[in-house]
Order: sequence, then structure tokens, then C-alpha cells
Amino acid sequence: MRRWIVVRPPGLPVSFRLGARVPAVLLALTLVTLAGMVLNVGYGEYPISPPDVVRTVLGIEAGDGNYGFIVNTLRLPRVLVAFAVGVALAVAGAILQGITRNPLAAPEIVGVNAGAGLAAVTLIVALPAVSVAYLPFAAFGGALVVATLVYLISWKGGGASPIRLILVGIGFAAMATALTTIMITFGEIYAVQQALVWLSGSVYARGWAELFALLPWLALFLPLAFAGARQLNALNLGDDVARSLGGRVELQRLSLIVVCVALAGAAVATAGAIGFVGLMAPHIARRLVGPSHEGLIPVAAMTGGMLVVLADLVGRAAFSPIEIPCGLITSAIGAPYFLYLLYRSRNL
Amino acid sequence: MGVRVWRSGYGRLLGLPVGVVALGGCLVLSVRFGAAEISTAEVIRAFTDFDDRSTGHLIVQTIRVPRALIAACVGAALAVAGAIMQGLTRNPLADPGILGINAGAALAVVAGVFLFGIGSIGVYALFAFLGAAVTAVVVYGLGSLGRGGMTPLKLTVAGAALTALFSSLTTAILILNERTLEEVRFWLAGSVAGRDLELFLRLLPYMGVGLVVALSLGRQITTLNLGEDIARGLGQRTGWVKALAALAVVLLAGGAVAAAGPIGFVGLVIPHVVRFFAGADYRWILPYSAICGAMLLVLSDVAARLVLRPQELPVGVMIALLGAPFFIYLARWKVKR
Amino acid sequence: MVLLAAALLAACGGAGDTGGGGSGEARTVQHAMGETEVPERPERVVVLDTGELDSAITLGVTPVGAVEAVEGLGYPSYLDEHTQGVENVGTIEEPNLERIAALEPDLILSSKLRHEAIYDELSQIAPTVFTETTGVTWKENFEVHAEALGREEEAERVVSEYEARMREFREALGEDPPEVSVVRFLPGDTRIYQKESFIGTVLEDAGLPRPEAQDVEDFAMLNVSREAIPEMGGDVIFYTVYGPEDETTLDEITSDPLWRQLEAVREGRAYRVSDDLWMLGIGYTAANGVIDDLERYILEG
Repeated sequence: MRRWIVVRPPGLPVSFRLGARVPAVLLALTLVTLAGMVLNVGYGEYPISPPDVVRTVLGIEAGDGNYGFIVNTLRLPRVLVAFAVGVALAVAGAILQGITRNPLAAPEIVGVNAGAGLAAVTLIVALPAVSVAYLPFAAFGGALVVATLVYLISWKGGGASPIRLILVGIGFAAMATALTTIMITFGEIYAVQQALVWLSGSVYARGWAELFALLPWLALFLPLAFAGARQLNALNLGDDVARSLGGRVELQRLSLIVVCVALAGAAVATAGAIGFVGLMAPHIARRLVGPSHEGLIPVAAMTGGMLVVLADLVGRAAFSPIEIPCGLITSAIGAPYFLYLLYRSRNL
Repeated sequence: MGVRVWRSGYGRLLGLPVGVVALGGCLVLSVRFGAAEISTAEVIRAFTDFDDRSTGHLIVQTIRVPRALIAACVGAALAVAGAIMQGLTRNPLADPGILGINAGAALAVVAGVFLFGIGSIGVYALFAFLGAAVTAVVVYGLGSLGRGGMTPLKLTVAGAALTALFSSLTTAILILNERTLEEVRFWLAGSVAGRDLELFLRLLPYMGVGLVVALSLGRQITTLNLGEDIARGLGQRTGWVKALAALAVVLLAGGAVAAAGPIGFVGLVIPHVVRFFAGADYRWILPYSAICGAMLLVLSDVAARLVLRPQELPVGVMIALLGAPFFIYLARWKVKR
Repeated sequence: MVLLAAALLAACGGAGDTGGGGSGEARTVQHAMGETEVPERPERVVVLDTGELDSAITLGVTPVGAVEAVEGLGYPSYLDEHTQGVENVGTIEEPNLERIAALEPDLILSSKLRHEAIYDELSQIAPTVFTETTGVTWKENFEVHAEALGREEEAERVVSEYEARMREFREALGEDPPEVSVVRFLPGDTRIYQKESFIGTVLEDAGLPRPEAQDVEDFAMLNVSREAIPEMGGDVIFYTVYGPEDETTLDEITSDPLWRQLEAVREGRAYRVSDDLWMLGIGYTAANGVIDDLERYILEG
């Protein structure tokens, strides 16, 4: 029998309950993530010892005068972006898996990445003079449009069945990829190259500007995701059960999809396609704290952040001086995991 | 009424030569039009009165004819492979591209180049067959795990998953070897441009065997498509039929990928179109799929050459633009859960 | 212009964080990303593209750091004697910011096209001056580079020497110059170059006409198929190979009967020239190397 902790924030008309293991698991994940961040910030051309990293981040003069620049301008924002992107992808994945009741659903499967890529390359081709600073907006728009189309077209008989969502998503991803190839043929070759590098799923040279552009999305949509946890629990039992529990199923599903796309789109717009995080993190979280979304969402978020931070560290260290985009590292771990999931979900 | 006449054995039999003639017409178009401007008279003279000093004649004979033939064979192979997969798995969404077989073959080729440095395109074929075979087994296995056996959804999701997996692995290898694998990268886009005729001739026997095996299985697949129990009840040795059909798919799809890179959706679209006038009998669906698949790829290749002239698009892109909406249409309106 | 900008800056009280190093007092340079204060004569320069590398070396500045076009392929070979000891700071696509910072440069040169996304980080390392783009605008870019490097006088000399050489070349060429075709073989890609490229402008300066398909205000015909081989024809063909030769389309095209049919090929007037010089270099040193080739193959050949 699982034990629960009931949380009633004073003065708020809400309460939720958490699995008893959630706080401990969250604490452990946070510690691992922090350790990963410190290692990540310390690693590089200029190796910096963990104590010096902490001191520099806290603004205490440490060792070399250059540490301040290296740590605070180059490495710290990058590692924070990695973390934030991981959080966003993981929560988006958790929501999507909850809505579709399909453990294999991931933002990239419903076409979010392909839409973002198409929009970004289109922007470069259609408006060559436009600053790269607008790429994230285009990518976000593309993700949103494709996800909306996928949702609308999957709609049938008063609902969008999870199965159709996935299938229609596959179709749209294929179409967007083909259109991207065509756009590349039209585009100015250097500019397109730049867009492709940027979309390849990396946090290379991401700075404070990118972090601050991403944070509002997290600040707005993470609480909404958490607030939707109970609806997700109901939807997870099936549409009929959810309806009998008094839920307006389609409305809930739609609003949760908006949250999911906003998070995934913001993440892809910031760092490109970092594959399989949205798939893996919720699963790992489910193994750790069970399927109840009140605990699952925060744990998945922390897991996702941890995964990307560690992947970035591995990507920088493994083939140094060549830097492997962290998206490829997550894919290399994620792909076999995916196969394992396929095997486990055989009774789908 | 018209459809009924078509679906009578008579109409369908008559339709085959008509289809062959239409395919011939497409081939003529493919030889007639291209990046270079060559007059019809010149094109005809290239066949009747070949002059090896004429630029136009050389283009027709050494570039366009091989290209048209390769496109036709690849299209036929993919369409028949798709038809068999749809019949065998009773999955209307089955296609060598969607079920990951193309991606598996592509990964095998790229990994072959990466790990063993295979330089000659000729060895691509071996790896492509291997990759296609392994993927087919894995997809089929993953798609039939669990309660209720194989369902279209499970199979499609397994295919999409493997495609995602294989594509990211392929990308990883390409990034690690940016310098040396540019050529493969172009091949990956799926194109019949500038393909080596020699390689193609070496692949042709495999694809030919695949096609013969496939066409001879028409009756068995029709029965199997009614359900495995019924087929067994009718005395069919379903295990053998499935194994032979899978062999045909691997030979056809693997050969097509080795010749032209991964081209999706031909195997999806064509059998559906064919079923509209050929009915549900695979003895008819398979040959018609071969003809129509060949026509689709040849025509798409002509379009790929003409839309951005003198630049070319990979034909795989053209097909995806056509096929992906069709896939969405099927998923939305035709698939019951 | 510089004076005006300097005056403006003085009026504003001179804000901005511009790393150390260099000699003399600072100047202000206007460029694609705005205004930047740079040292009088920067000495520790980092260049993030091949055109900037050529410019710096042309002006007698050996950079402390430079990027490679492709991982592991090194700097353009025609600059070999000048690039000894130049620290590798990554590739054009992903320069290693930490390594750049470690070099403590006093000027960074690149273009908006290449590195707009990391301009902020770069300008925190050192004063960073960007041109808008690269390639066809190489002469304007050179002016910007010269201004940023504080070597306008040297630049004037370089430009007038180049123009003098070109005048001489055109005179030697006579009344009936040959049509020059330029083809580049890359891995999996064949390109026919047109006029809006570095090499296009050099050939134009040299007074060399182009075949009809190449006499177009555009960059290049990309990814052409074998059917386009006739478009590669001209009185003289210059072709280059980028990357490892056996991966490129060189063999596929040059073994084609259509290629062997081309008049220039039959007459032995198809020349393989250095890709580093003709395509990658992009600058006055590269342009002078191209003139050497043109003299050798067209005037003497």
C-alpha cells in the first residue's frame, strides 16, 4: 500500500497529495543535478575545481581573474539553459504520455520538432536579412502550428483519440521534413547551414539572453502543468472514466496539449531537437514515484533537467576537443531505452 | 458500373497491358524531359541514329535512360513491398518507409561505411539487405508482442519509433564523420539521379527474385488477409507463406534502398490506389502495384527535375509531399482503432 | 567617419567594456553590429572565417587564433607560411569561445552571417567587428577589416597593387579574351559558379567573360546533375575539389563522356586549381594567387 502526503497550501483553495517517496526522490535528483552542473561548469579548456566553481558563481573572487568570465558568461548560462530545456521537454513528454495514455508518445512524435525546423528554415529562406534572434520565435510558431493541425485533424466524432494523434503526427512530421529539404535547396547556403547547426539539438554558446527568453515560458506553463496533474490522472483512466468523474474531457485535453506544445516548442526553439528526453524522463520518474501525476510531473522535470545537463557534460568531454551536441548523447541513451519501452509496452 | 467492369477478371486482365503502355509513356516522358533542353527529334535520333559525339544523344543514352529504368524498378519494388506488407499485416498504413525498413537499411549502409570503411557503392547493397532484414524482424516482433497480437497501431508506432531511433543514430555517425560521409548524406535524401547503372544491374537479380516470389504469393496473401485462422482453416501453411513474403519484402525494399536511398510512401499510396480498381485480390493488386509504383516514381522523378530546373530535388522529397498527406488521410478517415 | 564616431563617443563619455591589450589609444569602428571601440593597432587578433584570415595576413597581421573551415583540415594551404603558430580555435560553425578567451585577444573579426548568435559572448571577450556577410562582398569587408586593424594605409597599397595587376592582365589579354568556366566538385555535390561569388568578382576584374549559363548575377548552380555538364563548357575550364577527392563528384563527372566531349577538355584547357585559393580564401592574397593561376594558364597556356 502506497503512502501519501497531503499538501494543503495555507490560504489557497487547493490541495494535492504526493506519494511519500516524492520529496526524498526529488531531493536526491536535485543533488545529482547540482553536482552535474558544478562538474559541467568546471570542465573545459580552463578546468576549474568544484569549490572554485561554487565560489565564482556566488560572486566570491576565486583563483584566476578569468574565472568570472568563463564561468558566469560562458558556462553557467549554458548549463542553466540545458537544465531548463530538459525540464520543459520532460514535462511536455509527461503530459503527452498522460493524455494519449501511450507510454511511447513524445513531443517529437507529434511533429513539434519537425514543425519548428521547417519554420526556422523557412524564415531564413523567405527573409534572408532577418536576424537569427528571431529564429526561436519562428521555431515556436512552427511547432505550435503543426501541433494544432495534428490535433485538429485527429479530431473525429467529438474527440481526438490518442491513437490518431500519434498517427497524424507521424504524417505531419514526414511532410514537414520534406518541405524543410526543399527550403534548404532554395536557401542561401551559409544561412541555411547556420540554421541547421542551431537546430541540431545543442546548447552550444547559449547565453543569458537565451535563458531569459526561455524562463517566462517555464514560469507560466510549469505551474499550469502541475495544476493539470489531477486531470491527467483522470484522463489516464480512460475517457469514459474521466467523463464519469465529471471532467470535460476534450477541453481538458486541449488545454493540456497547449501546455505541452508551449513547453516543447519553447525548448526546441532554444536548443533545437534534443531527442528522447521527453520520452525517457517521464518513464524514469514513473519508475521512481509511480504514475500519480502530482508527484510524477516535478520528478520528471528534475530528471529531464538532469539528463540534459549530464548529456551536455558527456558531449563536451567524450570526444574532446570535438564537441558532440547533447541532443545526440540523449538520443544514444534514449534509443535503446525506447526499444526497451517498446518491449515493455507490448500489452498496449 | 465502370468499377464493376474493371473488377471483373476480364477487365483486370485487359487493364494490365494498358498499364504497361501507360508506364511506357511515363518512361518516354522521363527520357524526353530533363535539365538539358533536347528536342524530341534529337531524342528519337539518339535511339535510331546514335552519334557518340552529340551531347544530346549522350545525355539521353547515358543519363536519362538508365535513370528512367532505375526509377521504374525502384518504384515497382517499393510498391509491391508495400502491398505485401499491407496484406500480410492487415495494416493499411504499412509501408517500407513508415515501418522503419528503409531507415534500417540506411543505417546499416552508413554504419558499414563508418565502421568498415566500405568505399565501393557495390557493398552498400549487402548492408542494405542486412539492415532491411533485421529491421523487418524487429518491427514485426515488436509489433506483435503482447495481448491481442499484432495491431496496425502497434506496428506503425513500432515502425515510427525505429525510424526515429535509426535516423538519430545515422545522424550521430554523420556528425562524427562530417568530412567523409557527405556522399552518403546525399544518398540518404532518396534520389535516382546519377545512380550507378552497374550497381543497379547488380541489384536487379535480387529485386527480380523478390518480385517473382511476391507475385507468386498473390493467392496466399489474399487468403491470409482474411485472417490467419481462416487461412489455416483453408489448409494454408501460414508460416511458410509469411516467411516467403518477408523474404520478398526484404529483397525488394533492401534492393530499392541500396539503389536509390530511402524513399518512403510509394509502398503506402500505391496499393490503396490499386485496390480501388483491382479489388481485394492480391493476385491483381500485386502486378498492378508494380506497374503503378513504377509510374509514380518515374513521374515524380520527372517533376523533381523540372520544378527547380536546372537544380534537382531528391525524388524522395517529391514522393513524401504526395504521400504524407495521403497517410494523414488514411490515419484520420480510414483507420479504426 | 572614424573621427565623427570618435567624437560622438567622446561626447557620450565612452562606455563599453573593451578588453585590454593593443597599443596606443582606442578608436571607434562602425560595423554590421553597431559601433565598437578598438585599440589603435590591435596585435592579438582572432579571425573566425577564412576571409578574415586572408585579410589579416594580407595586412601583415598574423592572427593569434583562427578557425578551420572543416574539422581537421587546417588553414587554407596558400597561407601556410603565415599561419605557423596560429592557434586553432575550433571550426567556423562552432568556434570554441573558451579557447578564444584564453588567447586574450584585443580584436575579433567575423561576419554577422556566420556568428551573429554569439556576438554578445565574443564582444565580452574582446572588441568584435563584424561585416554583414562574406564572399562576394570581400572588397568592402577588407575595408572594414583594415579599419578595425588600424591598417588603412597598408590596405590602400594592397588595393592599388591589385588593381594595377588587373590592369596589366587585361592589357596582356588582348581583344578576344576566352570565356572562363568555373566548376567545383564537393562531396556529393557539383557546383557551377556564377558571378555573385568571390571568384566571380575576380574574373570580372580580370576582364574575363563567362559562358552564358554562368554569366548570371547569382552565386552558383548547386547540386547540378550530369545533364548540366554541357553548361560547364567554356574556352577554358577551371575546376576545384573541396574535401577528400574520392568522396567528391570529381570522378563521376570527369569520367562522363559528356565531360570528355567538352571542347576545353578535348583541347587540354581544363585545369585543376587550388580550392583553398579559388573558393575558400576570399581576400586579396587569394585573389593575387588566382591572378598567378590566370597568368599561367591563360596568358602562357
